[in-house]
Amino acid sequence: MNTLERRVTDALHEQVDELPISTKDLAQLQRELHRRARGPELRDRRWVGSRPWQLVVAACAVTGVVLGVLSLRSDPEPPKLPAGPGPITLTELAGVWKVQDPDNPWLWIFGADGTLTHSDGPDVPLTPVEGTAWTVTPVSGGFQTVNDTARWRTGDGVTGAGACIVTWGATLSTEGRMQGTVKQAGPTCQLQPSDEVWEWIRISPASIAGTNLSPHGAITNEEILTGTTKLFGTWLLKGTGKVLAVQPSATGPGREQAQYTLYDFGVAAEPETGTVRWQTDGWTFVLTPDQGTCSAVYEKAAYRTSTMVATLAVGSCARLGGAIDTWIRLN
Amino acid sequence: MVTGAIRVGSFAAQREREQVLTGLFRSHCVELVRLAYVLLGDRQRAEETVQEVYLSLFRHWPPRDHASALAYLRAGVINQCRSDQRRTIRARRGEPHLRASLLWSENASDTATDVVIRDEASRLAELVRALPRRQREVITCRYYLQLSERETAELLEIGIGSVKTHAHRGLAALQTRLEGSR
Repeated sequence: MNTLERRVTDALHEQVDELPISTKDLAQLQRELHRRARGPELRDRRWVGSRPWQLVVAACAVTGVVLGVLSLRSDPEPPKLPAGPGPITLTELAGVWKVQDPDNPWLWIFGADGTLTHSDGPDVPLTPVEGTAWTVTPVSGGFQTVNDTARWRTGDGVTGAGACIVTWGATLSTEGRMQGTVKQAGPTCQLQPSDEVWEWIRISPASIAGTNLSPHGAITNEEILTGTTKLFGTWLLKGTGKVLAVQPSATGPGREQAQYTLYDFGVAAEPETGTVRWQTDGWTFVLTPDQGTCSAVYEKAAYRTSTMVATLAVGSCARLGGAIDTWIRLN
Repeated sequence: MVTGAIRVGSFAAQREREQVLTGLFRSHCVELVRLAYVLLGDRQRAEETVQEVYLSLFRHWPPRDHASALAYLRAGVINQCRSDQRRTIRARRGEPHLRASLLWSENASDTATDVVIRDEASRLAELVRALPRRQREVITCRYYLQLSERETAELLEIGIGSVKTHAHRGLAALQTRLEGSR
């Protein structure tokens, strides 16, 4: 990519990224969609009222018209969905959610098929651990999580096992936030009913809250990465729902090689897996997918305060995002 | 492999179809509005364009090619933007000039130009929008969507040679106009 091409790329993205859309704007758009759904131009068509159209209108309401990902500003109080007492659907839950706590590294991964896994590292997408998967069932005012063979270990070394059913009261906001409290829990469950409010942000598919996720953790000086160790963990490509998980390679020589998984719950494609290799110059690294030979080559990655800025090398065959990517560490 | 990832493989089952539809909206709405905004430079028109594309999708359900729903939607947005621009040009016919034409008009007043050229990013984006249709679309696909030449050719339903030609001409025009506006 030459200088002009890079300028055009940056200019187009910069302009779009700076679009100001508030949640009020989103609500207006949502109303417009409803109006058009019921408008005379569509009323006579045979598919009006059919399931697909109802679904798209519902999707508009449910997702709060996620166009707000474009937003740089938002209202202080994100509007709640008109959820009422109805259950949260599996479709609404499907995706990767981050516990909204800067020091909490856990991700909750809801499958559209009603599964739930948790991860505090980059391992879950590659190797779900038997016995840690839960099933999720929508219930009035929230959802219920069930694990027939729950096993856990606390920080004090206390372990437990047995069937566990937890009933959550939960609400979703249009921005991709979810709040919940444990309403009921079986005696074998580690979590027990309390007034503690949990909050999650949907990371993937992209949401307003996820897009506005800020770097967290201790402020650190910029550092040019020179080995795979700093890459280990789960990263979110800023402004998208794209997640990169990097973990040590089981077969590689260690420090210079790692495995990666790149996925986006909003995209139909299978997750991409591959290998990360560090070049001998010390700062260039190459991501080669398992399927195919087109690698992404990054000439530099700078890390500061939970954020990595990676610069694509000129002539790179593939890329993970754009010419210059900003990744936020999730765990 | 991600557990329960939304797939666009089979539309046979109603339940899966519902999930796919909802997933398509949730997943691509933002991206499509952004794409439309790049092409149109107007948020309201971009939002309306994307609404039209989703409406069109349901009018013609199921899509011909289930495996490339995103490409279907992207192509729909590009086509819809094309129609929108035709309407806009017709509506503006008779006006003394189009907004973008101010960008490289030597006779344009500094005041008007200053308003339009707020920074290089918006200036470049305006220049892209002012390119001939094919060049504009190819430049958008290659440098905004960051598609390969092959992907761009498939999306726009033109040959790879045409993609190369339009990209080359588009970039050359941008270079010329950037230099001319200094």
